[in-house]
Amino acid sequence: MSANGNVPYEESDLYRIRHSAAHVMAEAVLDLFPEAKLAIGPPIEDGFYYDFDLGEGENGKPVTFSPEDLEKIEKRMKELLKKNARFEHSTMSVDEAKAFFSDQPYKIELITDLAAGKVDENGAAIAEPVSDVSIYRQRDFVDLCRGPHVNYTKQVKANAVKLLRTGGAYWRGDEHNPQLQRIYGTAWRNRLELDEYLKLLEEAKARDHRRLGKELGLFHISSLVGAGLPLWLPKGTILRDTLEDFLRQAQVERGYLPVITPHIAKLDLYITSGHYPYYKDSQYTPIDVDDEQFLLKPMNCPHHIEIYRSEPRSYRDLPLRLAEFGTVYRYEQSGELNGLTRVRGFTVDDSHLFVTPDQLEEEFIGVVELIQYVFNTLGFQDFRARLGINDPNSDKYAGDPQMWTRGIEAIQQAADKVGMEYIVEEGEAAFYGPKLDFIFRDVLKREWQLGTVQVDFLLPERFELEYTGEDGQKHRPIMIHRAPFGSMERFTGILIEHFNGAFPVWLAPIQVEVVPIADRHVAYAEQTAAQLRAKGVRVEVDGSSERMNKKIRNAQLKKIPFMLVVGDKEAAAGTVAVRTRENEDRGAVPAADFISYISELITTKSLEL
Amino acid sequence: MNQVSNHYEESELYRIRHTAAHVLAQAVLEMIPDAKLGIGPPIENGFYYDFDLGQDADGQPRTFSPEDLDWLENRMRQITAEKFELHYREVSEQEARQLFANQPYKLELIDGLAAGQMDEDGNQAEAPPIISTYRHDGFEDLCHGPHVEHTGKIPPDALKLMSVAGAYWRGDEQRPMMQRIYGTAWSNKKELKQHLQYLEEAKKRDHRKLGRELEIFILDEEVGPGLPLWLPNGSILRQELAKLAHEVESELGYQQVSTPHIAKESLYLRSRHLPYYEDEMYPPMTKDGATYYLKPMNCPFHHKIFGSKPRSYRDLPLRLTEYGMIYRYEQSGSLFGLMRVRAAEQNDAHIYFAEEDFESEFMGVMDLYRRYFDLFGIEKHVMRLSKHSKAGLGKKYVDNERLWLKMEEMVRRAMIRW
Repeated sequence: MSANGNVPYEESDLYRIRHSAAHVMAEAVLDLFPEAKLAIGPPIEDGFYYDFDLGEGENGKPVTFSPEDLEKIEKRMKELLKKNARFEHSTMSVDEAKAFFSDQPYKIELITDLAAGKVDENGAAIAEPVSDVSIYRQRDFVDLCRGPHVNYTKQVKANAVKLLRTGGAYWRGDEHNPQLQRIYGTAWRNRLELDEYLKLLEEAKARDHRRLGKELGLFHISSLVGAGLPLWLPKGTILRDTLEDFLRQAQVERGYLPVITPHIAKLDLYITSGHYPYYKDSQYTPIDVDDEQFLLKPMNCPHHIEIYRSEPRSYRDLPLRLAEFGTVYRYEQSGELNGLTRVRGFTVDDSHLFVTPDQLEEEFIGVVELIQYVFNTLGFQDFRARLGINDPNSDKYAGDPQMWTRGIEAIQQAADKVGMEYIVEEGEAAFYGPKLDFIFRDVLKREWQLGTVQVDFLLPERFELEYTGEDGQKHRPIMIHRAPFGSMERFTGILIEHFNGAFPVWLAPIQVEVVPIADRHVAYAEQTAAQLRAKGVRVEVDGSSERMNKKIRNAQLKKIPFMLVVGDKEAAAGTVAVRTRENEDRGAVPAADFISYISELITTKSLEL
Repeated sequence: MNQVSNHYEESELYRIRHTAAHVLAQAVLEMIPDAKLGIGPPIENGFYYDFDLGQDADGQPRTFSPEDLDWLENRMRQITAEKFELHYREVSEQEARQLFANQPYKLELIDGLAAGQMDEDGNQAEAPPIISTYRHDGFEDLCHGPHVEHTGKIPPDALKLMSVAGAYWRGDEQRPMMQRIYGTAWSNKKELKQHLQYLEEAKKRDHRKLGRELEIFILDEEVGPGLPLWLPNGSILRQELAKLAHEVESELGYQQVSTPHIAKESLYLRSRHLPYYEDEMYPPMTKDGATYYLKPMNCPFHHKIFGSKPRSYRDLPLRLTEYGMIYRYEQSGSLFGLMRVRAAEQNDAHIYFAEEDFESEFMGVMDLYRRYFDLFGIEKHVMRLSKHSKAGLGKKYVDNERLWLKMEEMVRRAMIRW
C-alpha cells in the first residue's frame, strides 16, 4: 500500500494538544464556576470545544458565559498550563466511576450508556457493554476520557492557545435535551502557527461566501421560501451553468450519456435500494398520495439504476456511463445550515458507471483522471486522496465482506497504477462500498472533501442488475458512483471563498465592463460591447452618470476581470484602454486585439488575467 | 388581428355528434333495457355516452363486447334512416323526477340542477339552470341541446363507434365505474375516412411508442406514475431545446435564475396558491414543525428574487427566466406519457416592468413566440385572449374589475398592433 506519511488527525500531536487543552479549559471553568456541570469536550478540526451546563438564571433561561468570563477562563487556563502537571491515565469500575462523578449528571449518563453497551462518549454505537471506564487526571481534575493526551500540561503552549467564542449546543445534539454552553478554542504547536491560523480566520471572514454572495449578486436565501433552499440569482446562475457546461463537455468527450430524472419517487424505490433506513432521519417526511408514499430523492442512484434496467443489457452496452446534475434532499438541522456550503437541497454532478469486472480498473482510472482534470483546470493544486473503507465493528455497512475486499483492492490497484498517494481511513466508506475521496485544501488552508469515486457491488445485487456476457450467460455488473464537484451548491460556495469572488475569466459572471468617460462615448461603448457579445463574452456597459474613476472602482468591487475605458481618443482610434480588477493599467490596445486576447483566455480556461 | 369566432359549440358538427350520442343511448336501452344512463356529451372529434350495466357474477362491472358495438352501430344507422324529429321541452323538477324515476344518475343530475349548483354536464352552474329534455322516437334525455332537426341529419356512413373504456361517475374514483362508449360522427363519409386515417397516423406517431423505440424516455412503476425518466437520447433533445431557449432569451436580455423545487407553506400562503390551488398540489411534507410543499408554479420564487434587493427604474424591465420544474398532482387515470405528467419542466419567465413599457414588453414576448413557431415550422395557430368573468370575481379571479378591464384592453391593443 502506497499510503503517504500523513498520519490521520486522530493520531497526530495536534490532536493530543487540543484534547489536553480541552481538559485544562474544563479545569479552569470548574475553578471559576465550581457549580458548572460538564458534558463532553473533544478535539475538532483546528481546535477543540467543551460543553458546560451553568444552570438556569432567574428568568428561567440557561446561564451563559459573558465575553469577560471567556477572558478570565483563558487567563486561568494559561496559568494552569504553565503550572506543569502530568496527564495520568487510569481506569475505574463502572460503580466507582458513578460514585466519583455523582455530582456530574452528564458524566453519569455517559457512564450508564457505556455500561449498557449503547453508545460511547462521542455518541457512536459500541459493540458491547463496558465494565471499566477510562479516565484521565491532571491535578484534581478528573475526566471520563479515552485519550490520547500529551504527557504534561506544559506541552500545550500557553501562547499557542486561544478561546474563540461561545455558542449554544443541545446535549447530544437533541433539541429536546438541555441547552449547554459550548466554548470553542483553538490550540497549536507554537505561537507562529496560532498567529497564522488567526490571520486565516480573519481572511475567511472577509471572504465569507454568504457576504460575497450578496455583494456580487450570486444567491439569495428567502425566509419565505425556506432556510437552506437558496435562490440562485442571474449572476450565480451563470457561474453554476458555466461550471456545469464545463463538466458536461468533459463528460461528452469521455463517453458519458446524459439522463434526467424526477426529484421525487415512490418510497418503495428507496426501500429496495436500501437508502431509506440510512437516510430516514435526514429526510423530509414522505408525501402521501393515493395510498402511496413519495419521497424527495435522497440519492440519484436508484433512478439511474431504473434506467439501466429499462432494457436488457449486453456486454456491448458496457461500460454505460449515465450522467445527471441531479438534485438530492437532506434535512439538515437549521443550526447547521450555512449559505451554500450546507443546504437542504443540493445538486450533485452525479454519474453512475455500469461496468464489467474486467472494465472496473480502467473505468476507475478514467474517473480519477477526470477529477484531476477538473481540479487542474481550476488551479486546485493542493489536494490529497483518502481511501474510505468500512469499519468492521460497525453494522452501518451492508453486503458481504468479500465484496468489500474486492472493492478495496480494485481501488488500490487503480490508484497504484496512476501512481497516486492516498491515506486509508476506516469508517469513511459509503454504506454500499469503499470510496476514494479527493480532499482539497483551499487558500485558507481549510480542507474540503470534493470529488468522490465509489465502487459498489451491493446495489447491482439489490436491484438484480444483469448483462449478457460474450459467453451468452447472465452476469452482474459493478457500479461506480462518482461526483467530481460533489454538490454544485457547496462547490460554488468553496469557489467563492477560494477565489475571494475574483473568479477566473471563463467563470466570471460578467467578464468585461465597458466604461464610457462621458455620455457622448456611450455609443462607442455599446458598439464595443456588441462586438464582445458576438464573440460570446459576457459584457456590461456602465452608462450611469458617475465619474470614470467611480465606475472603475464599482467594477473592481464587483470583481469584474477587465474594465475597458473609452473616451474621445479611443473612439477615434478604435481602441480600448484596458484596466484589470487588480487595478493594473494596461493602456490602449485596438479593440480587436483585446477581443482575441480575452477570447483566448476564455477558451483555454486560463487562470491569468 | 382578426377575431376568430367559429366556436365548436355553435357548429353543425357539434349538433350531429350530440344527437348521435342520444341515438346511441336509445340503441343501448333497446339492447339492455335496465342499463342506467350517465352523461353523453359531444367531444373533440366525436362523442361518448356513459352507461352502468350492473355487475356480473364475479362482482365486476358488466361491459360491452366488440359484437355489442357492431350491433349498436347498425341499430344507430337504422334510427338515423327513420328521420325522427327532436323535440325540446322544459319540465318542472317534479316532472323530471317522474320521467327519470328509474335512472338514478339522471336523478342525481336533477338534484344538482334543482339546487342550482350543477348543470347536466356536471359543471358548476353560474345561474340556476332550466331543466329541459330532448325527445325523439320513444327516447327522452335530460339535455340542454342543441341538436339537429331530425336523426336523418346524421350521415349514416359518417358514423362509427370506436371503443369502450371504464370511467368513474363524475370522474370520482369513489363512485361507480361506468362503461363509456366512444363514437365519432362527421358531416360526410370522406371526413370520417380522413379522421380514421389521421388516427392510424397518430397511432404510428404516438409519442409513447416512439419514445420507447427511439429511447427518449421511460416510465417506471418503481419510480412512480407520471414521473418520466429521460434516457440519454431524450436528455440530449431536452438539452438542445434548453440551449436554444437559453441562446434566444439571452439575446433578448433575459437573465437565467435557478430556484429550489420545494418551499415553505408561508411562501404559498403569501402567493395565494394556498388555499386556491391546493387541490392541484401534492400534499405537504413536514419536518421540525415546518410544512413544505413541492412547487406548483415558479412565479413566487421569481418574485422573491425580484424582491431580494431594492430595485430602481434602471433595473427594469427585469426579465427572469428559468427551466423550472413544477409539480401538479394529476389523477393516475389522466396521466398520459409525456403529455400529462406529475412533474413538468417549464421554460418559465417573469418580466417586471414599468407600466409604460407594457406594450413593448408584451410585443417582445409575442415576437419571441413567433420566432419559435417559425423555427419549428408551426404555421397554423390562433390566438386566444382569455378574460375574466364577472361572476368569478373574488372566487376564481382577483376581485378588482377595473384592473381586469384595463389589462384586457392593454392586451387586446397589443394583439391588434402585432
